[in-house]
Amino acid sequence: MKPYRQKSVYGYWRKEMTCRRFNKELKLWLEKSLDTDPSLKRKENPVPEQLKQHARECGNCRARMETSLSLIFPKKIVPPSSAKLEAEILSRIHKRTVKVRKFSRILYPALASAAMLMFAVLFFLQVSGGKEETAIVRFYLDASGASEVFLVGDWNGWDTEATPLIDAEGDGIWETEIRLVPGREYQYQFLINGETWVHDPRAPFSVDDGFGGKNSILQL
Amino acid sequence: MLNKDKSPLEQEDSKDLLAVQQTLRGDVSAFDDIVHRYTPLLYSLAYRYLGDTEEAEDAVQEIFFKSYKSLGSFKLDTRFFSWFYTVALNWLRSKTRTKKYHKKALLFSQAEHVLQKIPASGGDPITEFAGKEEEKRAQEALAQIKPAYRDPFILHYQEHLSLKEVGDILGLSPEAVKTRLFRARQVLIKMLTS
Repeated sequence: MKPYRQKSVYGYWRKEMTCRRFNKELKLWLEKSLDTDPSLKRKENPVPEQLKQHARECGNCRARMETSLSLIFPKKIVPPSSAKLEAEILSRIHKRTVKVRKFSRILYPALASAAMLMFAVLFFLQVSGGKEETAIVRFYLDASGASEVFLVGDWNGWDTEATPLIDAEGDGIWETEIRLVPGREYQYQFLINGETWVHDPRAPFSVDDGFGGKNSILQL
Repeated sequence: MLNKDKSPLEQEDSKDLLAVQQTLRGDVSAFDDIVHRYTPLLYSLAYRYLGDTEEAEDAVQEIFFKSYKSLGSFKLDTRFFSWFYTVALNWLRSKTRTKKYHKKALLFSQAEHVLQKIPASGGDPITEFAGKEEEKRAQEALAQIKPAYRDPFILHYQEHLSLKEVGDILGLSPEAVKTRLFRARQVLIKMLTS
Protein backbone atom coordinates (compact mmCIF):
# COMPACT_ATOMS: atom_id res chain seq x y z
CA MET A 1 0.00 0.00 0.00
CA LYS A 2 1.22 3.47 -0.83
CA PRO A 3 2.20 5.35 2.35
CA TYR A 4 -0.06 8.18 3.40
CA ARG A 5 1.65 11.49 2.62
CA GLN A 6 0.65 14.92 3.81
CA LYS A 7 2.14 18.37 3.99
CA SER A 8 3.24 19.22 7.51
CA VAL A 9 3.33 22.58 9.22
CA TYR A 10 7.06 22.55 8.54
CA GLY A 11 6.13 23.11 4.90
CA TYR A 12 7.51 19.88 3.49
CA TRP A 13 6.04 16.46 2.86
CA ARG A 14 6.04 13.74 5.43
CA LYS A 15 4.98 10.16 5.32
CA GLU A 16 2.41 9.08 7.84
CA MET A 17 1.21 10.83 10.96
CA THR A 18 2.23 8.99 14.10
CA CYS A 19 1.55 10.02 17.68
CA ARG A 20 5.16 11.11 18.00
CA ARG A 21 4.92 13.25 14.90
CA PHE A 22 1.56 14.55 16.05
CA ASN A 23 3.20 15.83 19.23
CA LYS A 24 5.96 17.54 17.28
CA GLU A 25 3.55 19.23 14.94
CA LEU A 26 1.16 20.14 17.72
CA LYS A 27 4.08 21.79 19.50
CA LEU A 28 4.91 23.86 16.43
CA TRP A 29 1.31 24.82 15.94
CA LEU A 30 0.97 25.82 19.61
CA GLU A 31 4.14 27.93 19.48
CA LYS A 32 2.87 29.73 16.43
CA SER A 33 -0.66 30.19 17.79
CA LEU A 34 0.37 31.52 21.17
CA ASP A 35 2.93 33.86 19.69
CA THR A 36 0.41 35.84 17.66
CA ASP A 37 -2.21 38.34 18.70
CA PRO A 38 -4.93 36.37 20.53
CA SER A 39 -7.68 37.99 18.47
CA LEU A 40 -6.04 37.16 15.15
CA LYS A 41 -4.49 33.79 15.74
CA ARG A 42 -7.52 31.68 14.95
CA LYS A 43 -7.78 33.05 11.43
CA GLU A 44 -4.06 33.24 10.81
CA ASN A 45 -3.16 29.87 12.14
CA PRO A 46 -5.85 27.26 11.56
CA VAL A 47 -5.39 23.77 12.94
CA PRO A 48 -3.50 21.74 10.32
CA GLU A 49 -5.73 19.17 8.64
CA GLN A 50 -3.38 16.26 9.34
CA LEU A 51 -3.49 17.05 13.07
CA LYS A 52 -7.28 17.08 13.04
CA GLN A 53 -7.39 13.83 11.11
CA HIS A 54 -5.00 12.06 13.47
CA ALA A 55 -6.88 13.42 16.50
CA ARG A 56 -10.08 11.88 15.18
CA GLU A 57 -8.41 8.47 15.12
CA CYS A 58 -6.37 8.56 18.34
CA GLY A 59 -7.89 9.13 21.77
CA ASN A 60 -4.70 10.32 23.48
CA CYS A 61 -3.81 12.77 20.75
CA ARG A 62 -7.36 13.98 20.59
CA ALA A 63 -7.21 14.75 24.31
CA ARG A 64 -4.01 16.73 23.77
CA MET A 65 -5.59 18.67 20.97
CA GLU A 66 -8.76 19.33 22.95
CA THR A 67 -6.75 20.68 25.86
CA SER A 68 -4.63 22.82 23.56
CA LEU A 69 -7.69 24.27 21.87
CA SER A 70 -9.31 25.04 25.20
CA LEU A 71 -6.21 26.94 26.24
CA ILE A 72 -5.87 28.90 23.03
CA PHE A 73 -9.53 29.49 22.26
CA PRO A 74 -11.12 29.68 25.71
CA LYS A 75 -14.86 29.91 25.75
CA LYS A 76 -16.45 33.12 26.89
CA ILE A 77 -17.65 32.61 30.43
CA VAL A 78 -20.74 34.40 31.65
CA PRO A 79 -22.53 33.99 34.97
CA PRO A 80 -25.66 31.82 34.72
CA SER A 81 -27.72 34.65 36.22
CA SER A 82 -25.86 37.92 36.35
CA ALA A 83 -28.82 39.91 37.71
CA LYS A 84 -29.38 37.47 40.56
CA LEU A 85 -25.70 37.42 41.43
CA GLU A 86 -25.54 41.23 41.41
CA ALA A 87 -28.61 41.41 43.63
CA GLU A 88 -27.02 39.03 46.13
CA ILE A 89 -23.79 41.02 46.21
CA LEU A 90 -25.59 44.34 46.65
CA SER A 91 -27.85 42.95 49.30
CA ARG A 92 -24.83 41.84 51.29
CA ILE A 93 -23.02 45.14 50.85
CA HIS A 94 -26.07 47.27 51.63
CA LYS A 95 -26.84 45.18 54.66
CA ARG A 96 -23.36 45.83 55.90
CA THR A 97 -23.48 49.49 55.01
CA VAL A 98 -26.77 50.19 56.69
CA LYS A 99 -25.24 48.82 59.82
CA VAL A 100 -22.10 50.88 59.36
CA ARG A 101 -23.88 54.15 58.68
CA LYS A 102 -27.01 54.04 60.69
CA PHE A 103 -25.75 52.19 63.70
CA SER A 104 -22.04 53.00 63.53
CA ARG A 105 -20.97 49.43 62.85
CA ILE A 106 -23.36 47.72 65.19
CA LEU A 107 -23.89 44.18 64.14
CA TYR A 108 -26.98 43.22 66.06
CA PRO A 109 -26.95 39.52 66.66
CA ALA A 110 -29.28 37.30 64.79
CA LEU A 111 -31.21 36.62 67.95
CA ALA A 112 -32.83 40.04 67.62
CA SER A 113 -35.10 38.53 65.01
CA ALA A 114 -36.09 35.61 67.17
CA ALA A 115 -38.77 36.85 69.49
CA MET A 116 -38.72 33.85 71.73
CA LEU A 117 -35.04 34.16 72.33
CA MET A 118 -35.44 37.86 73.00
CA PHE A 119 -37.98 37.13 75.69
CA ALA A 120 -35.57 34.68 77.19
CA VAL A 121 -32.86 37.32 77.28
CA LEU A 122 -35.17 39.87 78.86
CA PHE A 123 -36.24 37.32 81.41
CA PHE A 124 -32.62 36.57 82.17
CA LEU A 125 -31.88 40.27 82.55
CA GLN A 126 -34.73 40.62 84.98
CA VAL A 127 -33.74 37.70 87.14
CA SER A 128 -30.08 38.65 87.08
CA GLY A 129 -30.82 41.91 88.82
CA GLY A 130 -31.29 44.30 85.89
CA LYS A 131 -27.99 43.67 84.13
CA GLU A 132 -27.73 46.05 81.16
CA GLU A 133 -28.54 44.87 77.67
CA THR A 134 -25.61 44.94 75.29
CA ALA A 135 -25.15 45.00 71.56
CA ILE A 136 -22.35 43.47 69.53
CA VAL A 137 -20.29 46.04 67.71
CA ARG A 138 -17.85 45.06 65.02
CA PHE A 139 -14.75 47.14 64.28
CA TYR A 140 -12.39 46.73 61.41
CA LEU A 141 -9.33 48.53 60.13
CA ASP A 142 -7.30 48.19 56.96
CA ALA A 143 -3.75 48.00 58.32
CA SER A 144 -1.67 46.00 55.87
CA GLY A 145 1.79 45.26 57.21
CA ALA A 146 0.84 45.72 60.87
CA SER A 147 2.01 43.03 63.27
CA GLU A 148 -0.59 43.83 65.93
CA VAL A 149 -3.58 46.12 66.26
CA PHE A 150 -5.55 46.92 69.41
CA LEU A 151 -8.87 48.66 69.86
CA VAL A 152 -8.59 51.19 72.66
CA GLY A 153 -11.59 53.12 73.96
CA ASP A 154 -13.17 54.85 76.91
CA TRP A 155 -15.37 51.84 77.70
CA ASN A 156 -12.34 49.97 79.03
CA GLY A 157 -10.45 52.91 80.50
CA TRP A 158 -8.22 53.21 77.40
CA ASP A 159 -6.57 49.89 78.10
CA THR A 160 -4.07 49.39 75.28
CA GLU A 161 -3.99 45.61 75.48
CA ALA A 162 -7.53 44.63 76.38
CA THR A 163 -9.02 44.31 72.88
CA PRO A 164 -6.81 42.93 70.12
CA LEU A 165 -7.98 42.87 66.51
CA ILE A 166 -7.14 39.89 64.34
CA ASP A 167 -6.27 39.58 60.68
CA ALA A 168 -7.84 36.17 60.21
CA GLU A 169 -7.65 36.11 56.43
CA GLY A 170 -4.16 37.56 56.23
CA ASP A 171 -5.43 40.29 53.92
CA GLY A 172 -4.49 43.26 56.08
CA ILE A 173 -8.04 43.79 57.33
CA TRP A 174 -8.03 43.58 61.11
CA GLU A 175 -11.32 42.90 62.85
CA THR A 176 -12.85 42.43 66.26
CA GLU A 177 -16.26 42.38 67.92
CA ILE A 178 -17.10 43.67 71.37
CA ARG A 179 -20.23 44.08 73.46
CA LEU A 180 -21.31 47.61 74.37
CA VAL A 181 -24.31 49.08 76.08
CA PRO A 182 -26.60 50.92 73.63
CA GLY A 183 -27.84 54.48 74.16
CA ARG A 184 -24.41 55.90 74.86
CA GLU A 185 -21.58 57.60 73.04
CA TYR A 186 -18.11 56.07 73.01
CA GLN A 187 -14.69 57.35 71.95
CA TYR A 188 -11.97 55.09 70.58
CA GLN A 189 -8.80 54.77 68.52
CA PHE A 190 -6.74 51.95 67.09
CA LEU A 191 -3.19 51.30 68.28
CA ILE A 192 -0.94 49.76 65.65
CA ASN A 193 2.23 47.89 66.61
CA GLY A 194 2.06 49.38 70.10
CA GLU A 195 3.10 52.85 68.98
CA THR A 196 0.95 54.34 66.23
CA TRP A 197 -2.44 55.74 67.20
CA VAL A 198 -4.95 56.08 64.40
CA HIS A 199 -8.58 57.14 64.35
CA ASP A 200 -11.18 55.12 62.48
CA PRO A 201 -11.20 56.50 58.91
CA ARG A 202 -14.76 55.27 58.45
CA ALA A 203 -16.24 56.82 61.59
CA PRO A 204 -18.56 59.68 60.70
CA PHE A 205 -17.60 61.78 63.75
CA SER A 206 -14.38 62.43 65.64
CA VAL A 207 -13.00 64.83 68.26
CA ASP A 208 -9.50 66.03 69.16
CA ASP A 209 -7.86 63.69 71.62
CA GLY A 210 -5.76 66.42 73.21
CA PHE A 211 -2.51 64.88 71.96
CA GLY A 212 -2.66 66.08 68.37
CA GLY A 213 -4.74 63.14 67.19
CA LYS A 214 -8.42 62.32 66.93
CA ASN A 215 -10.78 60.09 68.84
CA SER A 216 -13.42 58.45 66.70
CA ILE A 217 -16.94 58.64 68.05
CA LEU A 218 -19.35 55.76 68.15
CA GLN A 219 -22.97 56.60 68.89
CA LEU A 220 -25.06 53.62 69.89
CA MET B 1 -20.02 64.85 34.13
CA LEU B 2 -17.95 62.68 31.82
CA ASN B 3 -15.74 64.26 29.22
CA LYS B 4 -16.82 63.36 25.71
CA ASP B 5 -13.25 63.78 24.41
CA LYS B 6 -12.08 60.88 26.51
CA SER B 7 -11.58 57.41 25.06
CA PRO B 8 -14.07 54.66 26.07
CA LEU B 9 -11.43 53.21 28.40
CA GLU B 10 -10.78 56.58 30.04
CA GLN B 11 -14.51 57.15 30.36
CA GLU B 12 -14.87 53.79 32.10
CA ASP B 13 -12.02 54.75 34.41
CA SER B 14 -13.71 58.08 35.17
CA LYS B 15 -16.98 56.31 35.92
CA ASP B 16 -15.18 53.92 38.27
CA LEU B 17 -13.40 56.74 40.02
CA LEU B 18 -16.58 58.74 40.43
CA ALA B 19 -18.39 55.71 41.86
CA VAL B 20 -15.55 55.04 44.30
CA GLN B 21 -15.41 58.66 45.45
CA GLN B 22 -19.15 58.74 46.00
CA THR B 23 -19.04 55.44 47.88
CA LEU B 24 -16.26 56.72 50.13
CA ARG B 25 -18.33 59.82 50.82
CA GLY B 26 -21.13 57.58 52.05
CA ASP B 27 -23.30 57.16 48.96
CA VAL B 28 -23.61 53.40 49.07
CA SER B 29 -25.72 53.14 45.93
CA ALA B 30 -22.73 54.42 43.92
CA PHE B 31 -21.08 51.05 44.48
CA ASP B 32 -23.96 49.46 42.54
CA ASP B 33 -22.38 50.75 39.31
CA ILE B 34 -19.11 49.03 40.14
CA VAL B 35 -20.90 45.77 40.90
CA HIS B 36 -22.89 45.98 37.68
CA ARG B 37 -19.81 46.70 35.57
CA TYR B 38 -17.47 44.16 37.10
CA THR B 39 -19.67 41.16 37.91
CA PRO B 40 -19.38 39.47 34.48
CA LEU B 41 -15.62 40.14 34.29
CA LEU B 42 -14.99 38.91 37.79
CA TYR B 43 -17.14 35.83 37.33
CA SER B 44 -15.22 34.87 34.21
CA LEU B 45 -11.90 35.27 36.02
CA ALA B 46 -13.09 33.35 39.08
CA TYR B 47 -14.45 30.51 36.96
CA ARG B 48 -11.14 30.13 35.16
CA TYR B 49 -9.39 29.69 38.51
CA LEU B 50 -11.97 27.59 40.31
CA GLY B 51 -13.72 25.72 37.50
CA ASP B 52 -17.06 25.50 39.25
CA THR B 53 -20.15 27.68 38.82
CA GLU B 54 -21.15 27.74 42.45
CA GLU B 55 -17.66 28.37 43.73
CA ALA B 56 -17.14 31.11 41.16
CA GLU B 57 -20.34 32.83 42.32
CA ASP B 58 -19.26 32.60 45.96
CA ALA B 59 -15.86 33.97 45.00
CA VAL B 60 -17.44 36.93 43.21
CA GLN B 61 -19.46 37.77 46.30
CA GLU B 62 -16.49 37.45 48.62
CA ILE B 63 -14.23 39.53 46.40
CA PHE B 64 -16.76 42.34 46.04
CA PHE B 65 -17.32 42.35 49.78
CA LYS B 66 -13.61 42.36 50.48
CA SER B 67 -12.94 45.16 48.01
CA TYR B 68 -15.80 47.17 49.49
CA LYS B 69 -14.31 46.76 52.95
CA SER B 70 -10.86 47.76 51.69
CA LEU B 71 -12.02 50.63 49.52
CA GLY B 72 -10.33 53.04 51.92
CA SER B 73 -6.93 51.72 50.82
CA PHE B 74 -7.57 52.48 47.15
CA LYS B 75 -5.46 55.40 45.93
CA LEU B 76 -7.65 57.76 43.96
CA ASP B 77 -4.84 58.65 41.54
CA THR B 78 -4.62 55.06 40.26
CA ARG B 79 -6.91 52.94 38.09
CA PHE B 80 -9.69 51.21 39.97
CA PHE B 81 -9.69 48.45 37.36
CA SER B 82 -6.11 47.42 38.24
CA TRP B 83 -6.66 47.68 41.98
CA PHE B 84 -9.83 45.61 41.81
CA TYR B 85 -8.22 42.90 39.72
CA THR B 86 -5.27 42.78 42.13
CA VAL B 87 -7.65 42.25 45.06
CA ALA B 88 -9.45 39.55 43.07
CA LEU B 89 -6.26 37.75 42.08
CA ASN B 90 -4.95 37.76 45.64
CA TRP B 91 -8.20 36.23 46.84
CA LEU B 92 -8.25 33.61 44.09
CA ARG B 93 -4.60 32.73 44.64
CA SER B 94 -5.13 32.15 48.32
CA LYS B 95 -8.25 30.10 47.57
CA THR B 96 -6.49 27.87 45.06
CA ARG B 97 -3.61 27.39 47.46
CA THR B 98 -5.76 25.04 49.51
CA LYS B 99 -5.37 21.31 49.10
CA LYS B 100 -8.58 20.86 47.14
CA TYR B 101 -7.25 22.80 44.21
CA HIS B 102 -3.85 21.20 44.21
CA LYS B 103 -2.38 19.89 41.09
CA LYS B 104 -3.75 16.86 39.39
CA ALA B 105 -1.62 15.05 36.87
CA LEU B 106 -2.58 15.43 33.25
CA LEU B 107 -3.43 11.93 32.18
CA PHE B 108 -3.80 11.81 28.44
CA SER B 109 -3.47 8.06 28.51
CA GLN B 110 -6.86 7.85 30.20
CA ALA B 111 -8.56 9.75 27.43
CA GLU B 112 -9.41 6.76 25.27
CA HIS B 113 -13.11 7.12 26.01
CA VAL B 114 -13.29 10.24 23.88
CA LEU B 115 -12.98 8.05 20.79
CA GLN B 116 -16.62 7.16 21.28
CA LYS B 117 -17.80 10.69 20.65
CA ILE B 118 -15.72 11.50 17.61
CA PRO B 119 -17.83 13.44 15.15
CA ALA B 120 -17.71 13.21 11.39
CA SER B 121 -14.74 14.92 9.76
CA GLY B 122 -14.84 18.37 8.18
CA GLY B 123 -16.36 20.31 11.08
CA ASP B 124 -15.05 23.43 12.77
CA PRO B 125 -12.15 22.28 14.96
CA ILE B 126 -13.16 24.58 17.75
CA THR B 127 -16.65 23.20 18.07
CA GLU B 128 -15.62 19.73 17.01
CA PHE B 129 -12.99 19.45 19.72
CA ALA B 130 -14.81 21.33 22.44
CA GLY B 131 -16.57 20.30 25.62
CA LYS B 132 -16.45 20.20 29.40
CA GLU B 133 -13.77 17.53 29.65
CA GLU B 134 -11.12 19.43 27.75
CA GLU B 135 -11.97 22.65 29.54
CA LYS B 136 -11.33 20.86 32.79
CA ARG B 137 -8.10 19.40 31.49
CA ALA B 138 -6.95 22.82 30.30
CA GLN B 139 -7.64 24.15 33.75
CA GLU B 140 -5.66 21.31 35.30
CA ALA B 141 -2.78 22.10 32.97
CA LEU B 142 -2.85 25.74 34.07
CA ALA B 143 -3.04 24.73 37.73
CA GLN B 144 0.26 22.93 37.33
CA ILE B 145 2.29 25.95 36.35
CA LYS B 146 3.59 28.51 38.81
CA PRO B 147 1.20 31.35 39.68
CA ALA B 148 3.83 33.79 38.40
CA TYR B 149 3.28 32.36 34.91
CA ARG B 150 -0.32 31.24 35.24
CA ASP B 151 -1.73 34.65 36.19
CA PRO B 152 -0.40 36.55 33.17
CA PHE B 153 -1.41 33.66 30.89
CA ILE B 154 -5.02 33.70 32.11
CA LEU B 155 -5.28 37.49 32.09
CA HIS B 156 -3.75 37.93 28.64
CA TYR B 157 -4.76 34.87 26.65
CA GLN B 158 -8.06 34.02 28.28
CA GLU B 159 -9.39 37.30 29.64
CA HIS B 160 -7.88 39.24 26.71
CA LEU B 161 -6.32 42.02 28.74
CA SER B 162 -3.49 44.00 27.16
CA LEU B 163 0.11 43.58 28.28
CA LYS B 164 -0.05 46.97 29.98
CA GLU B 165 -3.23 46.09 31.85
CA VAL B 166 -1.74 42.78 32.98
CA GLY B 167 1.40 44.63 34.05
CA ASP B 168 -0.60 47.16 36.05
CA ILE B 169 -2.48 44.41 37.85
CA LEU B 170 0.59 42.33 38.63
CA GLY B 171 2.91 45.27 39.29
CA LEU B 172 5.13 44.43 36.33
CA SER B 173 6.34 46.25 33.25
CA PRO B 174 4.87 45.13 29.90
CA GLU B 175 8.28 43.64 29.05
CA ALA B 176 8.29 41.59 32.23
CA VAL B 177 4.77 40.39 31.39
CA LYS B 178 6.01 39.34 27.96
CA THR B 179 8.84 37.37 29.54
CA ARG B 180 6.45 35.60 31.89
CA LEU B 181 4.08 34.82 29.05
CA PHE B 182 6.98 33.33 27.13
CA ARG B 183 7.87 31.11 30.08
CA ALA B 184 4.23 30.15 30.58
CA ARG B 185 3.96 29.15 26.92
CA GLN B 186 7.12 27.08 27.14
CA VAL B 187 5.94 25.21 30.22
CA LEU B 188 2.43 24.61 28.87
CA ILE B 189 3.58 23.49 25.44
CA LYS B 190 6.04 21.09 27.01
CA MET B 191 3.29 19.73 29.22
CA LEU B 192 0.88 19.27 26.35
CA THR B 193 3.27 17.66 23.92
CA SER B 194 5.57 15.49 26.00
